[in-house]
Amino acid sequence: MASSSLFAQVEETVPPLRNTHFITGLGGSYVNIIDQGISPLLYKGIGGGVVLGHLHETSRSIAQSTARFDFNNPNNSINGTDMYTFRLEGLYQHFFQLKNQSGKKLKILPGISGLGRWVLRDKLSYTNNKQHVETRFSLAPALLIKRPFQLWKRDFEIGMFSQLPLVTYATRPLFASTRFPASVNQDEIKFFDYLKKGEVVSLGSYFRLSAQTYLLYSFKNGNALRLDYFWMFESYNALNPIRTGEHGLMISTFLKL
Amino acid sequence: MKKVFYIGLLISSFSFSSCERIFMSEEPEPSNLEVFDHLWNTIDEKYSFFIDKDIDWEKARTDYRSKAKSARNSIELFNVLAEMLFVLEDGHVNLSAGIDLSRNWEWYLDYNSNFDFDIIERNYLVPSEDYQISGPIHNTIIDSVGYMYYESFSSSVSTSLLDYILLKFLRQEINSLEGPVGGIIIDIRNNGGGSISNAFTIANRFADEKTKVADWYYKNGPAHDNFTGPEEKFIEFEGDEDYIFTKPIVILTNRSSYSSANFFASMMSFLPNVTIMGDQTGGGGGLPVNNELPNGWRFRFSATRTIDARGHNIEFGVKPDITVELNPLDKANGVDTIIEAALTHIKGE
Repeated sequence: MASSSLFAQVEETVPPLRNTHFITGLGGSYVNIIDQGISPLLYKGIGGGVVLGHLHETSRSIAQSTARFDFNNPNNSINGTDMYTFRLEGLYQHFFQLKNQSGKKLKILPGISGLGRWVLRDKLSYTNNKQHVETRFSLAPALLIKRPFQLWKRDFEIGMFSQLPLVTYATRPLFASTRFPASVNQDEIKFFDYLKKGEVVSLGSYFRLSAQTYLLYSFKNGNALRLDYFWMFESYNALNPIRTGEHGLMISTFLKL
Repeated sequence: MKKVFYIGLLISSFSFSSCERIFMSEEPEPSNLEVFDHLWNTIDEKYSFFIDKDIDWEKARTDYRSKAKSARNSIELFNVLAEMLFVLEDGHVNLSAGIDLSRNWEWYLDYNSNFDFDIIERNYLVPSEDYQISGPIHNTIIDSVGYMYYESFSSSVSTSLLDYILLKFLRQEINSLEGPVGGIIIDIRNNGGGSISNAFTIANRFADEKTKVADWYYKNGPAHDNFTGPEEKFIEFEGDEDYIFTKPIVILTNRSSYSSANFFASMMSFLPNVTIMGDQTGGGGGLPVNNELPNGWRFRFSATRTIDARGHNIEFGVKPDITVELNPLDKANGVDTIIEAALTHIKGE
C-alpha cells in the first residue's frame, strides 16, 4: 500500500520514463598485477578492450548490464619478461531512483550489482605452469552519482558508478600448479572445472573497489555517446595472494532501442 | 556549487585511479635476504619431495641464510642460492640468472654415460639403406629389428608419424626386408626429457588395452605433506589399428634418460611385450614449475610426485629389467654393446 502510493507520487510529479539503449564500446586499458602464484614481481602494461551492454531506465530504476573483454600485455621492469592477460567480465547493476531526488539535478542512486569475472594470465617464459586462470562471482552494494548539465546548448551528463563486493565466490588453481581442484583425474580441464571447488570470501580476505566515471553526451534522437574511465583495485588473500589494479578508458555508443 | 561538484568528482576519480600503487609498489633493489627468503619460502611450501628424500630444509636455511646476507655481489649471492638448491638433489631444480644457470648434474655425471651417438650414427644408422629421420625420430632396420632413436621429448611427435614408422617396419614394400621386423628397439638414452604429452603419444601408440601406469599427486598446500588425492594416469592404444605392434619391444635407457624420458620408460614397463634394458634412468618424477625472485632471477622446482602403478616413486629412476653397460672394448671397435644385447634379446624371444 505504502509503495503503491509512493509510485503514484512519482508518476504525478515526473513524466513517465522508459529508455532502453544498446551499448557498444571500444577502448584501451592498463593493468598492474602481482600474482604470487606466478611471481612476486609487479607486472604492468597496456592493452585494449571492447564492451557490449544494455541500459534500461525507468522512473523507478536504472538497470545496466555489460560484458567486457580486455587483453593486456604487461611486463616487469626487473627482468623484462612479459605475460598476456585475457579478462572477461560480466556486470549487472540495478540502481533505484529515489523519490525525494526527483526534482534535483544531482542524483545519488543506491543499488546492487552482480559481477562475474574470468581471467587468464599466460606467463610466456614458463612451461608447466604458464597459464593461470581465476574466476570470481561477487555481490556488491553499488552507488551511482550523476549530474546532467548543459554546455553550448547541448545535453551532457557526468557521473560515477562504484561497487564494493561484500560476498564473493572465488576459485584459484591448486597451490603449486595451474591444475584446478575440480580437474584432478580428468584428461583435460573442462570449462565448468574453473567454477567448481572455490571458496566464499568476504571483505576480510577479498577486497575489490571499482569506480567508473563517465561523461555522457545525448543526441536529440535519443542516442548518446559516453566516455568512461574505469578504475579497479582488487586484493585476494588466497594461498597465493593476488593484487591487481586496472585502468580503462572507453568510448561507447548508446543506441536507443 | 556546481564547480565544487565537478571538481570533487574529478579529484575523487583521479585520486582513486592511482591509489592501488600504494599497495603494489615494486622494489627495484631487494636485499639479499629478501631474495633468499623468497626462494627458501617458496621451495619450502611448494617443493614436492621433502619427505621422500628426507631433506632437512630448516638446516639449509640455517646453513645458507647468513652466507646470502654477507654476499658482496650478485655472483656470490647466486652461488650461495645455487649451493642451497643442491641440497634437493633434483635435476628439475634450477636457478637462472643472466650470469649463470645452476643445476644438479649428479644424477648422471656420477655414472657411466653408456651412450655414444657417433658409434650409432657411423655403424648402425648411416650404413643402413632403411635409415630415415622422420620428424625427430632417427629410424632404421638393424638385423631385421626396427630401431628408433628419440633424442628429446621437447620435439613433437604425432600418432600419424608413429603410424608411418610402424608401417615401414611391418610392410616389406617400403623396407629392405622380405617381411616385418621381429621387434623394435626404442632408444631414449641421453634423452633429457621435454613435453610429457609426447611421452603419452608414443606410449599410447604401443599400448593395447587401457592400462593404469601411475598416480600423480599435486602439491595443494604449504605443509610438506599437503597433496591432492591421486590423479590416475592411463595409457591406451591410439593409432592405425591395422598396425598394432605386439612383438617384443626393448627400451634402451641410461642415467641421462630424465624427466619425460623417465616417465616414458616407466609407462612402457607396464606393457607385457616391453623390456627395459641398459642402465637405470636418471629420475625426475615431478612436474617442474617456474617462479621468479624479487631481483628478477628465475627458478624451477618439482611440484608433483609420481608413484607408478607398482608403488614405486619414479623420482629415483626406473631400473632396467636387464642391466647392460657399454663395453669399452666394444666401443673402441664401433660396437654399441647395449644395442647388440637388445638385438640378441629380441631374436631370442
